[in-house]
Amino acid sequence: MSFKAPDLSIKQIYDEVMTTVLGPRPKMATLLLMIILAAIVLHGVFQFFRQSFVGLGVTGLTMPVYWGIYIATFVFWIGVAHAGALISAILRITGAEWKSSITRIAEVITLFTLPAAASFPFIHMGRPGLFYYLIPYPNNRLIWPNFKSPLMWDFFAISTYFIGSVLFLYVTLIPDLGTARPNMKGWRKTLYTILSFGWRGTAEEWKRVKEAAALFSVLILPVVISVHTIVSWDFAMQLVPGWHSEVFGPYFFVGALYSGVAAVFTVMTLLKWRCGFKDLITPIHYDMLGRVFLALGLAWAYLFFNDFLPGYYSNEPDKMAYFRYLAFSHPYSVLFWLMFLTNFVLPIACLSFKGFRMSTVPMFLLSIGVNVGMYIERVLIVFCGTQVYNPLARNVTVYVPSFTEISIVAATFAGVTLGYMLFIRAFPILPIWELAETKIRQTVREIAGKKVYYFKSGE
Amino acid sequence: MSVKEKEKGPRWGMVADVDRCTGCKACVLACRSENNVPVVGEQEVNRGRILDWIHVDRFWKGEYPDVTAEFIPMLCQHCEKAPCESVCPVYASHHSHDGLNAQIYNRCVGTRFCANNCPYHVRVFNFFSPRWPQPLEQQLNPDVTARDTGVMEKCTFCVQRIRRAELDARLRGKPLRDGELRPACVQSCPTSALVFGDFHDPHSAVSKTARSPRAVRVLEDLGTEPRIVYLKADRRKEII
Repeated sequence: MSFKAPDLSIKQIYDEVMTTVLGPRPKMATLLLMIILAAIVLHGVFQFFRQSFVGLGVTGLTMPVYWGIYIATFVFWIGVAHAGALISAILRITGAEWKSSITRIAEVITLFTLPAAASFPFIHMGRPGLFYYLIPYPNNRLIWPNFKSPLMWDFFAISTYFIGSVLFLYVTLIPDLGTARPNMKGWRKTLYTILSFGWRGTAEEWKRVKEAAALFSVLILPVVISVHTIVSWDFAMQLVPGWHSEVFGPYFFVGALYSGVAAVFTVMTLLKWRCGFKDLITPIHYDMLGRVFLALGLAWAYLFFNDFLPGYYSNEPDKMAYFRYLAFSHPYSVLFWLMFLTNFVLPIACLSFKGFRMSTVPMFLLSIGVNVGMYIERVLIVFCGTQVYNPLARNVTVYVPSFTEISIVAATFAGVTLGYMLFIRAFPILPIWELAETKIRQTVREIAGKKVYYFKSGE
Repeated sequence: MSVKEKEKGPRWGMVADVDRCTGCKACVLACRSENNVPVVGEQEVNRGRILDWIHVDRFWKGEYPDVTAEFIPMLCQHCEKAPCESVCPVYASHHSHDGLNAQIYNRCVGTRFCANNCPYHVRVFNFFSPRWPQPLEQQLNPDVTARDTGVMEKCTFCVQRIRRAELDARLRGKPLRDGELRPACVQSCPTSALVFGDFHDPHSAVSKTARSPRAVRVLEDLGTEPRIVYLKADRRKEII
């Protein structure tokens, strides 16, 4: 079945998308959920300040494991943040027509997960108040940050990616804000007026928006690839044998896209259920994105085996010690094999079937499973790499995350969810103009008695 | 030897004779008092958060009843190509002009990247604010700063003594004599298992002892070029 634009008029598309913004007030249950999420976020903030004043001793970190769940969650959130770039940039470049329904869903994921990720290096610092030492600012002692350190590269890569993706999201949001502005009342009217930058919908403005979107989607690609590669270099450029792996760059990048697409599936299914985008998010979208998902799953598996097999084949002692620790020692072996199941066995077995790809509930469950697996993967890499590397046979303590660490990690999960819920209430979550454009460009032709839909390109 | 001949000035280093070490831990205590190393308490030590700039690793050899203990004093190796230095984003871990692997406490932001990348596990982190139980604060060394919470610290080769000795020598107008300058651990070692000196001077005690056929460097295959030479235990005495 080929992709076909929804059987709705442009007015109907507008009305359906704007139900989340202009629809009835949220129910009590939704408000209660928001209050609970806000409470979790506030608790996390409180725990962070307590940790800053008391010291990092409130975490479970100890001698060989100086990087714990904070860094694991940081890597996870950076991975999920790759959703936006993949969907908007890669699918835009390849000209996939079905992308219009999901571009903004993915970009907003990036909008909230990237700050969540970027907060962790600060939370994890011993002296977070001095984070500005990492910024190359002019100072009277003429000290620069160390540009040889992968952490410095991280700092630049993440800030570039964040600025780039926020601008990308904003540029494609302007036409919708301008279109919706006359129908708005109250605070939304003010907000839309300011943010739409006096959009009138002239041909010149359309040309500029489309040029900017095309330009951004090309420019952001190298940034996307570099961001997660650099995050992987934080590990790969160290002497720790479990981390010192040449395959980590592509492995982390593919893993990031994998968890990003999984996150898009989770969010778009929730939106489909809660906001009723039945005509706009269809099983064909699931099928198409499911194919991308399958390809990424296969690529992830390829690189995963590439990380371990060479060490296994040559029986390299340090790498094998790391592998044995992951795969056969309590308690990590349970997590390792669970990850193997949810990231490799299940997705590849299930996604190979079109029937599975097109069904909503199984795809939703699978997407959550993959992200649980990806989180476990990061946890295993961060925890076990330093835990098992003990060349001088010192007495070591096993790292277990403390309550403080778990509350702060939970706070970012709650914060991302809350941010997403608020964004849906404030702005259209599907790009109306892109959906309308797809609708207009679509033409039907009958070939051998069958209707074939195709899309005219050009202005 | 990795000493580059073209470089002028001292290249401080140490030789640790494993055969002479009795595991008395006088060096550990001396280091603690000299460098204001805080006391973390029993509970924190059990959690693996002991703050020791030098510790003595004990290894058992043989089967009962023929058991011998071997002691290896382990401290910062002051690597020539230190893995900790390249990863620090703010230059808190940094190579000084005379080759010391310096740690600049007030520059440290506590990313703990250096500790991850140190294969010797000799860097220690201040998980809490430093504290000294009642009488201990009376013996704090005024030449050494106390480190606050969130800061990485490690052996400095008693840099305050090195700088003081250099200044004294300059005032005196004569060069430093070999053996005149000793870090706290070397000074307190009853069996002279630890020797400190200038590797750049071929006649110094460290240079002479380091030429021993027993000389090894720990984890030398990693290419860190450590500045501490260990003299491994002499197996011949076991045969006799």
